[in-house]
Amino acid sequence: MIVKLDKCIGCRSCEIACAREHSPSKSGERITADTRKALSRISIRTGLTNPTDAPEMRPRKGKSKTAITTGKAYPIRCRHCDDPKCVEACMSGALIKNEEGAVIHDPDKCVGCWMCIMACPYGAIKRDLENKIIVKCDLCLHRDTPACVEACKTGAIVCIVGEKSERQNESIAEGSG
Amino acid sequence: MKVSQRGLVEMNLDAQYKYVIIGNSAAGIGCVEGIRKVDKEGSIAVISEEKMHTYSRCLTSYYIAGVVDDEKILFRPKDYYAKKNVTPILGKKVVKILPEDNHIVLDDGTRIGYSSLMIATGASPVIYDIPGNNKPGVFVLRTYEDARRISEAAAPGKRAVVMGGGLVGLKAADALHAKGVEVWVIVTSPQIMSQTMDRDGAEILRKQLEENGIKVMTETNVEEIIGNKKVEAVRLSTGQTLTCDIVIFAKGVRPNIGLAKDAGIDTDYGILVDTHMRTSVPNIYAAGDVAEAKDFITGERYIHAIWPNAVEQGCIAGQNMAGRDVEYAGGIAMNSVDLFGLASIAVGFTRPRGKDHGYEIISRSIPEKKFYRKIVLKDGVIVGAICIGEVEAAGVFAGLIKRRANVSKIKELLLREDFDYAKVLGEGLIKDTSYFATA
Repeated sequence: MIVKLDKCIGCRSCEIACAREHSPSKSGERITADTRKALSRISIRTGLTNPTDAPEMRPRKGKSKTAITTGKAYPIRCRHCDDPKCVEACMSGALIKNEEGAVIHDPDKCVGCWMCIMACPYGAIKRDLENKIIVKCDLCLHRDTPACVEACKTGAIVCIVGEKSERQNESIAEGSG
Repeated sequence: MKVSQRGLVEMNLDAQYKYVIIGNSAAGIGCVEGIRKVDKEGSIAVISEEKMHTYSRCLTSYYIAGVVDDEKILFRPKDYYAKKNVTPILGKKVVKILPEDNHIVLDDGTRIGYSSLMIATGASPVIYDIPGNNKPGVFVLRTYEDARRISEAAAPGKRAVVMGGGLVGLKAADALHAKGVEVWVIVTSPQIMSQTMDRDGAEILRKQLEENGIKVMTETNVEEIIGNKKVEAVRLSTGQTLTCDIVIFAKGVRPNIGLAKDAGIDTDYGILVDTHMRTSVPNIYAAGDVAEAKDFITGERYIHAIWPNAVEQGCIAGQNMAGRDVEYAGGIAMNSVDLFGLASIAVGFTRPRGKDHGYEIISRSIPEKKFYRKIVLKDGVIVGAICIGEVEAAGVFAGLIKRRANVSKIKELLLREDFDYAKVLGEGLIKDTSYFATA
């Protein structure tokens, strides 16, 4: 999964779509109590300064503990790394890298030891304190397109899995450098 | 490697494998996975004196608490060996390594040849020499069998004395407490978790334990275990006698280097390995709690006896054994423990002492939130971090340690509760090609 930074306006539609997709009732268009409780696997977080010309988030009201109200928005999510440190650290065998290249989490095996959180350099794994397990991006493998990609109004989040995305990253790096 | 029946007879061997792995835990399984990244075909044997399918030692305390059962303690699926095309040789002990002949001998006399060998024999708990240390009711916690025995002994109304305030001791204490056992933790040092946590952090964790009913005594030793046929009490260095039914030795582990040493392989505290996880014998490798490998921060050899390092070292060794050239960047200390819902993570070098010069320490504590964070820097680079309460950023700190990123520019941000990877990107500290501007 890659992010076209200049296109992300920090609207958080991806977060809502992700939470909704991972809520027990998959509450459709409406946001219900269980969507609110469900955790989004992608987070819009903000850097304080803006190294690109990308749009900044507008100041928001609210008490979210994560809220820095201004700054450039960065969607933070699992990259399904080639050499996933979270899988290496997972002592319960709940995290595995499957043959398609996705890093998959088995909530039944997870014991909430937070070792993966300690190992992920992107801070892409969250704690679900109610169930004492972690949650992370599952690439919406049950869907054709991940919910966040579908919900992104500006086309900032692009999903490519496995080798393809590696190649894409390289060409981007070459292109911009 | 295929060897004809005649070949085996000539070499006086019972079996021959391309790869032989002694050890069936984190480093051993990491090694299997490393080999299979490169070589899908080569024959692999995994040998362990334990009969159990590969399980997680870190889950043994969860087993005592009843959080995981015989099924969930396995950290790879039941069909794992078949799927990876591995021959498990379980319940057999390796008694000898013969490096000149490239074979090993099992306790039943079986001789097994190898092209390359992995020694992942791990470590064993240390039982200190005090009177009464062999009485029924005295336990260590390392293996599945240990956990099973403790869990049989643990029942509501009993009392346990846990010797040692490290990770194993505290996890054992937590598990016993969950089973309704009254628990005392007796610690020699002035603080709990003296290997991984600084004094302030340890104090927060101690409070958390005590608020939840676990008693902690620091700067105290158990001097004698008293009892006729079984454990009845312990005598402490304070002179006090504590009646108890269970004593757990959790005062550290020692690497199992005997086999390697007898085979003439270079050892010090552990088995000495280079950055390819090779021992002093070229086709013999070592990984995990037994291996003294490069430390990322100092560059010296050190044993960080922790799960993630064991898996990583095993995986690197496995790839090298299979012919790929992979170098180990070095290990860092990394520990995570959740005590009664209070998460704490310590990574890297968190406790510079008086003799260590040139370190800068910044920290922040919000007692009402049980939030504590400490960052240790050297020349603008993070070398250690402690997170208590809010731990989501711990991995980002670990990543910054490994990248040796200079964080001078964002020093004030590091202690914010909402510090995250976006702050790192926002300040342009890291070039991350999965984020880019199309313009």
